[in-house]
Amino acid sequence: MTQFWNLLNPFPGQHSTFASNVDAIFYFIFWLSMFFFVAIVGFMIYFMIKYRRVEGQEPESSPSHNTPIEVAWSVIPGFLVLGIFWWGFTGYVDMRSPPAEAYEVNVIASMWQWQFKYPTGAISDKLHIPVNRPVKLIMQSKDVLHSLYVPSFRAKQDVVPGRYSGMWFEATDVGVYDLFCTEYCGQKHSDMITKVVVHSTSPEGTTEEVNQTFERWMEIASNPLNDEQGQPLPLDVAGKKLVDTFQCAQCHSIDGTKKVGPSFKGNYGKEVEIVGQGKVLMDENYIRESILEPTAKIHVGYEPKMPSFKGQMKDEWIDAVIAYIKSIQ
Amino acid sequence: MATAVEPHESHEDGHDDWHHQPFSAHHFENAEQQFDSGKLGMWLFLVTEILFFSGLFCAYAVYRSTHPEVFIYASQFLDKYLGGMNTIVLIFSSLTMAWAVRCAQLGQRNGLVTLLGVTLFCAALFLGVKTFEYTEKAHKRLLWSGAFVKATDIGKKSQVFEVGKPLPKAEFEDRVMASLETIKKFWWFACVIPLVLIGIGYGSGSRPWRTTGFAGLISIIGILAGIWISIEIHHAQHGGDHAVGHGDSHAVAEHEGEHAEDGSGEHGHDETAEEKEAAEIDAEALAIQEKTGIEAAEAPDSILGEMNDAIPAISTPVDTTPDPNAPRNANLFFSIYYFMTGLHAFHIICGMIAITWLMVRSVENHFRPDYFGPVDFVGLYWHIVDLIWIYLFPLLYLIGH
Amino acid sequence: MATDVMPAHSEPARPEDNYLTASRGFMSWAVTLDHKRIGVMYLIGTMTAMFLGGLLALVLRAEHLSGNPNTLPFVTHDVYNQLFTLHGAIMVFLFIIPSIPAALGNFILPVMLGAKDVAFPRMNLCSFYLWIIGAIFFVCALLTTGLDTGWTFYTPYSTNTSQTNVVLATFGAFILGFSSIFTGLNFIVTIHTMRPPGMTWFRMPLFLWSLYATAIIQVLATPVLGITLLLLAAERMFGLGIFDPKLGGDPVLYQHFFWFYSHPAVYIMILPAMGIISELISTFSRKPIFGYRFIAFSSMAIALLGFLVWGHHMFTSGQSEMVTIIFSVLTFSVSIPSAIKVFNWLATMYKGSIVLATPMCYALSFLFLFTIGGLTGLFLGALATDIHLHDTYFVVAHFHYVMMGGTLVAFIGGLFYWWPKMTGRMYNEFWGQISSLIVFVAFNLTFFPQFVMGSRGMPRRYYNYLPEFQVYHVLSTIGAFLLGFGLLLAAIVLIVSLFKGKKAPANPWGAATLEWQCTSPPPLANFEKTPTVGNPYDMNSVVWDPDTESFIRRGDVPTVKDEATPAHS
Repeated sequence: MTQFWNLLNPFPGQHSTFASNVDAIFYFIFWLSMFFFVAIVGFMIYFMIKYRRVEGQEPESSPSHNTPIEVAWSVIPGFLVLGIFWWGFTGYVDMRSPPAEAYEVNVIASMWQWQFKYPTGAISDKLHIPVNRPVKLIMQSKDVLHSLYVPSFRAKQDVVPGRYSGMWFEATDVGVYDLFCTEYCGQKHSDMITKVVVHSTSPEGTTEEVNQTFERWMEIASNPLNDEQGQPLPLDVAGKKLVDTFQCAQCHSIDGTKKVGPSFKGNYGKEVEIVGQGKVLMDENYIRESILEPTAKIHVGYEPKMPSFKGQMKDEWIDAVIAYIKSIQ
Repeated sequence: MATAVEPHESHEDGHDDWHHQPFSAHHFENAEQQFDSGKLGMWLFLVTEILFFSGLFCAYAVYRSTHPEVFIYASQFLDKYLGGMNTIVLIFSSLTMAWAVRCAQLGQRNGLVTLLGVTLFCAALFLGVKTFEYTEKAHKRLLWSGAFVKATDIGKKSQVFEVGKPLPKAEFEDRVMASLETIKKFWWFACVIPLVLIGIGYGSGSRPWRTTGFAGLISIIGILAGIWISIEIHHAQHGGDHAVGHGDSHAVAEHEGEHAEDGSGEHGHDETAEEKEAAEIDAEALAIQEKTGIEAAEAPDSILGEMNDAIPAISTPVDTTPDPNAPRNANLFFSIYYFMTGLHAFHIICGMIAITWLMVRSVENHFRPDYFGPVDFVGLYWHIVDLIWIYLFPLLYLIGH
Repeated sequence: MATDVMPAHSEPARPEDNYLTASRGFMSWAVTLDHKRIGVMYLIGTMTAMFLGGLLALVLRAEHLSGNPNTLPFVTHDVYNQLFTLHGAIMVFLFIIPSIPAALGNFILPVMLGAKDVAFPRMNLCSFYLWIIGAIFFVCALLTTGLDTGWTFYTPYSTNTSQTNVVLATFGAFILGFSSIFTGLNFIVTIHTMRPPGMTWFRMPLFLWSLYATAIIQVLATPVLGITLLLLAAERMFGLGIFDPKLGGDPVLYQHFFWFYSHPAVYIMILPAMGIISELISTFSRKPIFGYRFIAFSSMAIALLGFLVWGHHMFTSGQSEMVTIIFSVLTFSVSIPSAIKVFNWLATMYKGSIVLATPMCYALSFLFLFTIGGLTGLFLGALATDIHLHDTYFVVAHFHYVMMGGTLVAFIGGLFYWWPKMTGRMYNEFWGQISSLIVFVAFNLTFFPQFVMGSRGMPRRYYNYLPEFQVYHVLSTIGAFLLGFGLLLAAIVLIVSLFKGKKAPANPWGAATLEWQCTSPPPLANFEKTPTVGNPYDMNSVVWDPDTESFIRRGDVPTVKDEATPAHS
């Protein structure tokens, strides 16, 4: 039975400071609508039965208009909707006024992945934020329109190419929540989903699902070449981690199959055909150049679609990625 | 609009004479209702036309307010004398059109045909000037933002053309030359078609064909005259100087004076010498062949040849040093310029077709004091086209002065 | 006007001739200038488009039966994106916008008005052929590369990224826009100049008022769509740069342009539906419509206010906060005229003599579904809740309740209502009622779960979905197939009536509007003699006549009897 009621519950859990207010407005409109709906349909069914046609009997006459009633049912709903507007408006103003001390995260949306950059220089493919602290997202798109949506926070904002878009929220519970792209952005629009991980700021607040504090996570994320204990990882293992973070596998397979870009496997150390430049040996320098200036040498048979990672990948990270590519040949 | 009031046979046993007239439509009760319907329909159509352009005016307003520097900088490349001349030509054509409506109302057939012809010539003159302007802009590489990048490539390479920035030469030449060559061929065609029509008209004794042919000839001559006049105005202003951005601040008369001073002194002041002088200065700057024996309107090839001379030839690189004062995205202005004026020119062409149709019908003596709706309706359309230009001219040519 | 195409005219017209039998052969239809034939051709065209769009919708729904993306092996990411794009584009541009005005309106408007034809019959035919050309463009896009931009063609995806044939579809929509402008222009002029003596503005049936309001929107809004689509095509073909951020343009400007048309277009879709409902409820309650002037003026109010609210499609798009707030308050103002109409319809039923004939069943379904559609609009107009609900299935459910539960249901109701007039045949009442019941139940089953899944966070236009949403998707899919069956049943009922239906009398329902004064089907010139114009909702002016099994005008009783008696003896 609870399961059934759960199905009718119109909302995911409330996990941000906005959520309770948004839900309150929602329920207010809901019950108001319900009142009108029941009244309208109730009268409709009542009239349908009460005044059904009886053969040979003409209906008794009734007025064809009644101005006071008509004015009343024009004006009263007018006041009601103004009330709804006012409540929605105040809620909206809160959602669009980030506090000055908010923690800022840069968001880069591209087809079809999210990337989050933190003040420490750390980069991740999931959004990690501290609990009970306002977080401001500064968002940009590399290609088309996207929209960042976290249902549990009741927060959404389009990411428009060519400008910065901003949004903010304050998570109230530690946990992992869905993050969707809600503006249609092409082929894999529906795969452009990731998670928001809300970390506790103190060790007591950690849960089984999120067992690191925000500081601890940041420490590890800031240095992808180290493992969770802070010990240096083997270079190729660190490379694997980076390849995951930057979601290279969206376009480059690791099993030799051809995707949007050439596979990581099976090409290293071979000569590859370059558009307009003959054959080039695929070595460390080629990989490095392809990461920093992807359109300089285009592999025959592929479109020049890769974005540059200049300024995003540190030199030693590129070393790690090269080591990883070598390791899977 | 006017289609509904075209002549056709009446099939109804009407109760009055009106239903037996060749131009009455059976579903109307009387001539007044038919005329009122046509007129209201035309006005509504004009409303849709205005709304059609209003989208562009909105785009203009938005970018003018977000990028004011682009508009002030880029508008100096437009020649306000050519634009001004076009404005006068169109206002004059509105006068002749209104007069033509009056002639139709009074049943003056000869006046009507003549005035329609004059209106048609003015329209063609306008197009001629625009042809010159577009070609000159293309030579100076003043085109819309993505002119040299396929839209689908924009995401891949940041190879975007900006004012004053050189482009890969081959690509540029290919595109502009190809289009110019097409235009050259097209002119020959255009000249042949009306002559053929006139021939058919006389051969078969068909007046409509003949009238259409003459209307075509008027249009061609008008366009060539427009090009020729623009070349004269252009020379008068610029002399041999093709550096961008100089064409805005000198009156024609002043410029002619300057011309005589800084010219090499060997040029006379009669008409042909003027042309020759301009051509020569072009030749010096651009190393192209001497043009001689340039004749006026009837020889399209020489006019087009001259057009090529009057503006920097593409075989010679234009000044490719980037203009340090050019604001970012300056080509946005030209995107709007080409789209708005292009769409307006398309409306002019539609108007010319409609006027030709009116000429054919008025030669056939279809219009009478109690039936002149189509002339009235096309007249309204023509005024709205003029009106749109009257807004376009200051918004595009006169800002930043 | 029609002499050159209708050879039958050289002979004297026989009294039993109607517009269907006046002339024969393919060409007599293809170049006809008769508004009734053009209306019938439009009807066939838009129904075909609806069938195609509905088929695409069923494939979409079937794909969502399981969260596993390979429910249907041939529906990949790309195919899915093309399916929902074409479903939207076909339904909006080819079906809903032309359905009521161009198909039913073309047929009914001049007859209801008492005119012989629309003001510009050639333009009317031209409008139909533009519709055909636009449809061909869409079908070409469908058959070549498809179209995957969403029916909204949002930039920069549509201009820079999409590999499909956007330009072809854009030109298709552009041409359809002109088809719509021509229809609207024709209607405005017809209503202004072709009213017969006695037909004052406030004696016009409310369906005409709603068509007039619709026509104003068509004429004022569609040109802006035209220019927007031209700019889009120029952007894609030549790199114009107006909407491209890489060239200094602004993609949000495109959204403003697009919705400046497409929001009023929503009222192009719903206003004529409201007009039909006013007719149906009044006729089948056998009572004058309650508050005629309020309904007439509310149509005009919706048409005008509809131009001021486009920004509510863009609350999360990054337009400025002030603009967003203004659009929100204006949006609520549109809800008032719609509410007025609903209350007036209810009041019309009060103390009526209600008969649940098939058209009335559809009208009551409309009242139920449109009320839900309208009320859920309040959630989307309120800013704080819209931020959460925007671009989720909640929006999908909302506009389907209005567009499909509203417009489509009213359209079918109107079709059942005027079918005897159009074809001269009565359909099977029982199966018609059953079809309306199935459509009503199946509709709610399809779209109600979408409200829940939307507010729980399921974004729209998603090929894959998270497992927690599966139960709603399954319900919705079952409902969709049932709905398809219900609509098919309605179509079968109508088609069967063509062959087996009884001959329809002139006025089977007892309505007092003019179209019921001419025979069913109407003669070529609509009226043998100029009709008597009275109060369109004066139900007392018509009485049931058991001899002819039809309603007849009170004053005509003796004469009709006189004519009928010799025929019987």
